[in-house]
Amino acid sequence: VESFWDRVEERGLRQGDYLPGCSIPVFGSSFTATDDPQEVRADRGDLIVVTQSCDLEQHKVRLVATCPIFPLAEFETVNPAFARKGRWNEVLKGRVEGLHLLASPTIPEDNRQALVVDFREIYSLPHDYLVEYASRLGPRWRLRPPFLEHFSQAFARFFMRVGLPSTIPEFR
Amino acid sequence: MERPNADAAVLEGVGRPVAPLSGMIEPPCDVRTDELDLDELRDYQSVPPRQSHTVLVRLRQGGRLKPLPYPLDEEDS
Repeated sequence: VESFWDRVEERGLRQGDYLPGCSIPVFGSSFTATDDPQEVRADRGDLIVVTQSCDLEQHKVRLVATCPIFPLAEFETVNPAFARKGRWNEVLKGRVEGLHLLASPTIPEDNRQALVVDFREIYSLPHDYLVEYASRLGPRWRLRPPFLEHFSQAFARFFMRVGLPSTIPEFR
Repeated sequence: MERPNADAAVLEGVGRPVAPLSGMIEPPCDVRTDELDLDELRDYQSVPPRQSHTVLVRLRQGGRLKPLPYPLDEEDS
């Protein structure tokens, strides 16, 4: 199996950059803007950049859109239905629109080591923070063509989908 | 004679990697998930964070009122 990822070490961010262990501030329901310092929860999570590379290169964005990415085993602990035989094949075929599978950066031929991206959760984080964080990571993984375009297309398809109130009955 | 449904063939291809053809991950033909199971899969839950910490935020003085989503350094506090 061809590698999905390139190993890069540069400051610039691109779509498809894999950034493990980012901080994601999560404001609670009681958060209000006051003069006093307030405590806010910050989750740590592995993210993948979904903002278009051209926007990142031309510094057009202050915030960078990212989605969480998980090992299959971690996703299955919360969603045991996926652990049943053949279920990940439905994700592989694009039938679960919110999810997208990417081969492992190190063992692409082992599908159990694949990673799953959740398009339903999108975190916009400051560009400067992510650039600094990425540079501190040292070498990191970046999706390579055509897997990058396939990933980007799946993200677009998730957003462009249209639900109908009813449809023609299925042909049997 | 039954004609193949071209649309179905196209739809079946949606979501598959487009290239390269050789070495492409091909799902093994073991179990075909029925529509009921597919709904269950689409109803997946978000994965909770492995780790959380607390950061202190305060309003930026002077300009527009925007909270700082950064941990404050000692010299800032």
